[in-house]
Amino acid sequence: MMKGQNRPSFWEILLLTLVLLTVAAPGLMTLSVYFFPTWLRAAPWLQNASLVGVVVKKDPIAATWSNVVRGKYAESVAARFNEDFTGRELLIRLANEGWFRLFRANGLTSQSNVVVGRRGSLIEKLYLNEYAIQRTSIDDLSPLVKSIAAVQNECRRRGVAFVVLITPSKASIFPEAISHSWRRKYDLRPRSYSQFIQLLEENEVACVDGHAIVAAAKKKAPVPIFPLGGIHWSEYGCWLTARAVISEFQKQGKPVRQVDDPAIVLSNDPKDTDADLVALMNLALKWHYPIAQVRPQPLNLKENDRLSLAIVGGSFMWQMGRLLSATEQFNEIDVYYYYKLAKTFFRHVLPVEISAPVASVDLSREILSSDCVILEINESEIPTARPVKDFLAEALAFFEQKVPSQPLAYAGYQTVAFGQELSFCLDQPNQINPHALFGFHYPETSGRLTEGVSPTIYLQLPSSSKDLVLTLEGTRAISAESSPPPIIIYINDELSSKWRLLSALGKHELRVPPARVPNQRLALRMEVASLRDPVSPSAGEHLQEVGLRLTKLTVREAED
Amino acid sequence: MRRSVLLFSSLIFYAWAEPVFIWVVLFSALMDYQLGRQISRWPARTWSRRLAVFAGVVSNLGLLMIIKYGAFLISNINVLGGTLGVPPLPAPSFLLPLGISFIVFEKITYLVDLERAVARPAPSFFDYLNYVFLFPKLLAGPIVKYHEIADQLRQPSHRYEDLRDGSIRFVQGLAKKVLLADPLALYADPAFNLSVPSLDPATAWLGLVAFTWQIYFDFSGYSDMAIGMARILGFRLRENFNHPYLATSLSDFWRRWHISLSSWIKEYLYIPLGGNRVSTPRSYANLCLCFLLSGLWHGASWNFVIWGCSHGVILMADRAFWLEWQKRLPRWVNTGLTFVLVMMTWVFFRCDTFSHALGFLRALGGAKPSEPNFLVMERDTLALLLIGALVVLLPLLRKRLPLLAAPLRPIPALSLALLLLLCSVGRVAAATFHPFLYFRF
Repeated sequence: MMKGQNRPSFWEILLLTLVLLTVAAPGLMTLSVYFFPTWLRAAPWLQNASLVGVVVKKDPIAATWSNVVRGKYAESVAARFNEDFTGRELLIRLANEGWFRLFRANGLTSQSNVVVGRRGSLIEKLYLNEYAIQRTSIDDLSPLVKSIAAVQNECRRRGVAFVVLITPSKASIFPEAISHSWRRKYDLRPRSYSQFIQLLEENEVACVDGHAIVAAAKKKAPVPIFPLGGIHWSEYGCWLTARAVISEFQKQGKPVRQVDDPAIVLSNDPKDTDADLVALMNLALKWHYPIAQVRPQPLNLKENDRLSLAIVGGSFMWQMGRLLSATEQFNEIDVYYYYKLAKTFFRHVLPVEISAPVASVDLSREILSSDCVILEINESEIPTARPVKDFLAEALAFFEQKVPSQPLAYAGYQTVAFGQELSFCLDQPNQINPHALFGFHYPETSGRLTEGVSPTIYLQLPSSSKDLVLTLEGTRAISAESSPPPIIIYINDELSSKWRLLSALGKHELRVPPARVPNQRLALRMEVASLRDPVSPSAGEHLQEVGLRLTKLTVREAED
Repeated sequence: MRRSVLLFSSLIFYAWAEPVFIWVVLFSALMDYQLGRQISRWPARTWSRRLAVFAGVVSNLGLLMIIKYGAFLISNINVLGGTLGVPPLPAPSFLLPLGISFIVFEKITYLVDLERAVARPAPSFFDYLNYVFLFPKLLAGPIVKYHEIADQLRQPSHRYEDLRDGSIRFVQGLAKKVLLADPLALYADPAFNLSVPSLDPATAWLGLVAFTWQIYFDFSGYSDMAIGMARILGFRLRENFNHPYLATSLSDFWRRWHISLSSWIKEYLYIPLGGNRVSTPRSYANLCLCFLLSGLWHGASWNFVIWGCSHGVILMADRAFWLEWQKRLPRWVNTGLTFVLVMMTWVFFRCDTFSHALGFLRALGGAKPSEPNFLVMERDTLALLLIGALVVLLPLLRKRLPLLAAPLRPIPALSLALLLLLCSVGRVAAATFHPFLYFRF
């Protein structure tokens, strides 16, 4: 197409030079900074310091003979270069900004959890999935609510005020912000939220419905109840709900005081949770939209007059903790983030993260010794309610040990007979009850995929003095490249065995002595991947799917 | 000196990814080179010459069979043996070396062309290695014949136009791969990973269209990059794609899709089997066999075999009656029908199992899902599907719109290339960063 031009023009040469330089730029810049590290100080925009979001980084692989020969070392070097080359952040931000401006969409749609809705409102995919598509039957939710009621009653018997708090989902409060592609998938069957509320009422559980509160205030609020670029509620929405929580504690006889007339500071400069999703998009330009900061008047109560508060819940509770802490009527507010994922306590407003994750919770000295307990469930998490179930299971087990005369039937355990084959596959007989599972996806015809790093199965077994033999069958969810790490199996939190499972259908047997199964209750936990070194998901595969696909489980008595 | 640098960099390029297998290729190349010298010394049409070619072909195919098809073969033998109560054989587990299929086919081409006396042997082992390891085409072709490139290997061209046009072509390929194929895979992959009960017709169709674009832009993008990179280095490689989705029949499609492979199969398999000179049933059987093997070449799995066979069967129908019948239809109808047919056969190519493929086809036919799925097509994917369609239809648009008809002059072409390159590099960087808000396990 360009033959016959023997003398290229200056502009042509310049453009060609720029093309060639652009190809080589990441390598050249990285080498320059390696040899002249002081350059970066002069060019802070080239530092890869402010990309937002949690990523799983692999440890570098040593240049051993075996690693070099297997190509692992080359892979590791390439991965490290991809993660650290000079100017990476600048490129990522410019590319994301360009993609967003062109398509009004997040750059890596399928791999990202952030969806751009109407008028630029950002929503996390998880909330859209629940709002539009995911549906659960009321029968599936019933055991969960019964367990909540049992824990509530036991707490009240001990003088602990107990409130279930349902926090709202941005998708359900602002359905008008959801894009057409998601709206057309809307399932008309009732959402779990309305069924859950109905069950809570039937079981007389004290509940603060944050969804109803903020939905009612949506039109009158001075700022949007959910900020444009965030997934969590605004401090204003949180404050409205906090008032209802305090009223509920008052109703239960706790001397807490209402948060009246706080200072509400309006601004156009969103930060932290008000801009969590827009920050996660890692764009080049900052967004400005209205937000409100709520500053309650401190009550300045004496130390002895202050109460203690424990919250078991998710990320919405950081704002709640901060707000209630600012009222200075609680000695300490402990937030058990997704129960055991991390423990955060608020003193003087600011949170302090103690550990992540929490290995174990001493219920008698921690949550159940508080004056007030909030059990928070976001409406989008009602169908699964995983950490909540975990907490309820432990709390009920704890109460049962303390008060043996009052056995509490926890419906979260699957009753199983010896030799009975439990199936994880859809359309198969003897399917395992979803409430006996923690950390699993929905059943498919080929089995259930695990979700997260610690899927657990809760079993109620017949009485036996013999050793028990558990047989698990399944496959890896993702074909591992070479040898994936073994699945570590714990029985009632004690290391029991390791299952080396490749991609093909595998079977694993483990023997459990009866002494390890008190009350014939068995929690079978599988560490399917460690956060530090998970099996790498490739394009189109979610990190949550790194794990296995279980098909069958059998328990029998050992023959000898 | 330049040729030494080229060979050295090609070897480093390959050794970096395949530090073990490179020795196997080097040894096998040495064997082929020696065989080639012998073949050219012996008189034409002698048994010794044919025997040497046979040995070379068998050793190369043997390498491919063991590494690429060993596990597939053993697993099938075990399935068969299982029904007869025979204990299973241990399955070999090799990581598939980079570009093995391309390397083996090129090495076979070299020996057969020497036997046919259409090529002269490489003057030195150095030249032969430069042919086998020429890095731009090493990963994904095109399959190059030695005699097509022998002169260039001796004296690569070093013109400014090569550097400029090669750079533009390379960027075109990169943009196809990074800006179209990879983002479309983000929809196509989950759509094909959905279980059949949760697959609704809309998702199945959109997933299939996304995959149809993805595979074309991915493969032709790689070919463009290879051709462009080779051009920068002073080599001219043959074209590998010629607007295949505008083909008017499946026969036409195979003249436009992966041209170097289809012509290889024709020249080195179909014609030696008798070509069109044999009886009609025999030529049909040969056609089917060629496409079955072409399917297997793409991967060691039954779905590729079925894909290849389906093409073989349609090509038989082409020959039997369709090519004659289709003359009565307008061109656009033939193009549309061929496109839909090709798309349908991609289902067998992309699905992991035959039952999955059948389930997918049922969903395409309107079967209602029994479970919900969470796959939603966002605006960017939809826009990319449309952009993909425009790129595919570009030759037709060029005929209709005079503005697009003339080739771009160097400065606009380079400006466009620079813009696409910046977008592609940014996109490559962004694709390595998949953050979560926080861990929520």
